[in-house]
Amino acid sequence: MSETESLEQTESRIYELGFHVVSSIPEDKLPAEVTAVKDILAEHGAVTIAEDFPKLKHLTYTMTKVVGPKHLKFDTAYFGWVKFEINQERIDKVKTALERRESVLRFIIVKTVRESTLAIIKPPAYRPDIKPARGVGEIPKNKEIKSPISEAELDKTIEELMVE
Amino acid sequence: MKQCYFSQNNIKHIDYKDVEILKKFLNPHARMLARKKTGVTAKNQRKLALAVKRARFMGLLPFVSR
Repeated sequence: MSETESLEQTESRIYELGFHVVSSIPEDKLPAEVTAVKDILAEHGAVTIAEDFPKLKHLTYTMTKVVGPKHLKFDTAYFGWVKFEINQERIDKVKTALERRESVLRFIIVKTVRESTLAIIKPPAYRPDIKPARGVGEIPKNKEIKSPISEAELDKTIEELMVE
Repeated sequence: MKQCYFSQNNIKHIDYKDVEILKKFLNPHARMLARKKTGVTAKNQRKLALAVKRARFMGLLPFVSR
């Protein structure tokens, strides 16, 4: 069996590449960087399924990138992701190519599924069978107010007042 | 008994990018909460742990806090 045949036989998988582009790059040059990253994927025969354009994010800790003799520190970076389908054997080459790029601060390649994995959380639906907790939203019932004196006595006092 | 958040909301895949969801399962020190406290199923707890670790590596969640 030749090498090309064995490569074709290996299954292609869905992967997701999450990456940080260094914040030192001006925002107008960001589309070019994204294109360069996507070109690396395309070179290795990846087919893009979904993507999100990088957005500037504050990092929860300082990241260091070694560029030549320099250790560059970053507190912010442009975070973006690309979901793609690629042959399993070619993913290592993609990884090596991305490691060489100076503009990519950090990246992660994860196995994923074709459908969106981002959770869509619906607000809790109204359920008439569930009653609210006692005292929550309850309207107090009109209770009969018992007067300390009877109606007849009340009439009598009113009449007495009228006479006066 | 408290039910699993992911099962209740029909979340099949726990994504490391869903930082707001992941934050619900961290304590103020940014450590993961035990499933005994959150009611998450064992299977989802394993998925959650992986997502938290990925998010930490990508700087979306802290390793330590406070």
